[in-house]
Amino acid sequence: MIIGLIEASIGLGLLIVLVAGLLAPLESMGWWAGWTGPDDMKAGAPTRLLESLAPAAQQPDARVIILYGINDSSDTLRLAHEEDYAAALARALPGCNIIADLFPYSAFGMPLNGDRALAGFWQKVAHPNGRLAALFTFTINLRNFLQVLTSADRRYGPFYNFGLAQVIVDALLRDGHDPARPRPLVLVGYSGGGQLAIAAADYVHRALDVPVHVVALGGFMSAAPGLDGVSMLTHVRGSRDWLQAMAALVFPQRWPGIPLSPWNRALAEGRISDVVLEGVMHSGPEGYFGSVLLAGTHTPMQLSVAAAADATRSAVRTAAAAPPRPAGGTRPEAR
Amino acid sequence: MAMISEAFDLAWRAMAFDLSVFRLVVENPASARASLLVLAVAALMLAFSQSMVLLANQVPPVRFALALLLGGVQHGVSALGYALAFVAAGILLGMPAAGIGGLVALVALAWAPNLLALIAVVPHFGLGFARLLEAWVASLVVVGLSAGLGVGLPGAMLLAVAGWLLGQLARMLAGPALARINWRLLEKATGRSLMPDVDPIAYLKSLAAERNGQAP
Repeated sequence: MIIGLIEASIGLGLLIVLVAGLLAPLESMGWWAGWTGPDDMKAGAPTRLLESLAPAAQQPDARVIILYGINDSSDTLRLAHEEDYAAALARALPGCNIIADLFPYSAFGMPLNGDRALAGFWQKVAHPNGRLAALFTFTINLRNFLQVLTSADRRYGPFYNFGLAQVIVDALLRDGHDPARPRPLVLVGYSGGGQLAIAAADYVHRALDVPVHVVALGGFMSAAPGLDGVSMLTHVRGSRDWLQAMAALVFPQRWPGIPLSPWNRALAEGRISDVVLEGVMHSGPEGYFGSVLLAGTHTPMQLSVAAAADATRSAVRTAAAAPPRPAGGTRPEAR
Repeated sequence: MAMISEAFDLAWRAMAFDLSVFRLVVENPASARASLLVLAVAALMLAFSQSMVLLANQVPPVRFALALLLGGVQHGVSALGYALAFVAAGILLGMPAAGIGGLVALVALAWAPNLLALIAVVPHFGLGFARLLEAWVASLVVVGLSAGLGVGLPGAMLLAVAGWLLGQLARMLAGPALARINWRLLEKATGRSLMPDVDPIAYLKSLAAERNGQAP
């Protein structure tokens, strides 16, 4: 009786995962086809924004966009430690603009509690309590993890990542990006956010002519073609984070025997740097945003902030050392 | 209803490599008809699994459904084409003949794994599953030919390879003309001009560049 119940539960669980997997690409592909998504978020929106937004007079040293992990549901439903991370990064980088209000697990940036059929459901399960809390958390994680796989899939990825690049470009334009004085862009992606950051990077780089640096905190990353547009990927990984290491197995293009994959090309060109955080796990109190003292000296949060801040300062220095842009807006060398 | 039930029973048994069903569809006309139903549904599933390319081409919903049906028919016709190639290969190699009807039923049943083709839609892991299905179908074609025609496995493999080569030869000779017809039909169904070889990355990059060019 009990074994039958367990079997039925496993079967039902697998069926739900399968159905979720089948539906996962529909959001981004439906958006691309013009079937779904709000009218003002259709493909081409950045052009509209470029025409209507004026650049800010004062440009920051760099712009930093934070893409949170797969537990993310909306910028209005962030967890306290996520808010703390953005605030700490802003304190560490006083000359930079920190943008932390994007929802990257949608090709058109629509948060789960936004204009969606299931918005009420997602709003309720975003911060669950009680006996079903783990199940609700799993629901959001599964939904967003499948979007990470959609981004990594060579069939759907180009469309999803193009949409996400539009969302990022919109955010930069709202922040006052000046085409005449482009500032370096640093995408800080945690977990699945690391994949989304590298996947969208090339489009953003090509669209706005800005150098794009990526800081992946425990990034669950494929060998996305978008890596070709990344000036430098700082791969920050906890020594006890086995989840990010799984990505190197799950995505064959990251295997060492494939020299022409974007990942291995970036490695060979020295565009991927490894930063290991001793004692840090993927999530929880000892995760990248954790507040537990490690070896009695630093918290994982402090280490994660320092890693992203160092990478941003390096990006600013590199941009400052680059030769000035030629008049007339000719594109500089890629990367 | 009985035919649907029989079709799915045959399909699951074939997928489990129950070789007796291949003999059954060659000998029993009712089972042969049921195997054609398996092929029809499998071809539709395969078309659906590949339908994202229609969304990539921004095809509207009604035409999407039309193109899906057309894709299913094309996959079905392609499977039947291979059955004819096996008939021709059998004649060339002097192998025991099952007749066109028997071989069509046999190939149709070997397509049963494609009933699961929808799973290929799942991001990332679906791609590997699609390759697994192809290998599964190819294996079933070989063991099906062996069981259905009563020839040993080496003979079935020889027949399968010869049939495949003949199929490729037919494609080379008639392929371009058929592809043109196929393409026209697809464009009629989707109501738009489709790219001959869809390379989404190159296509998107050109779009991005185009938009970038419009920027002030």
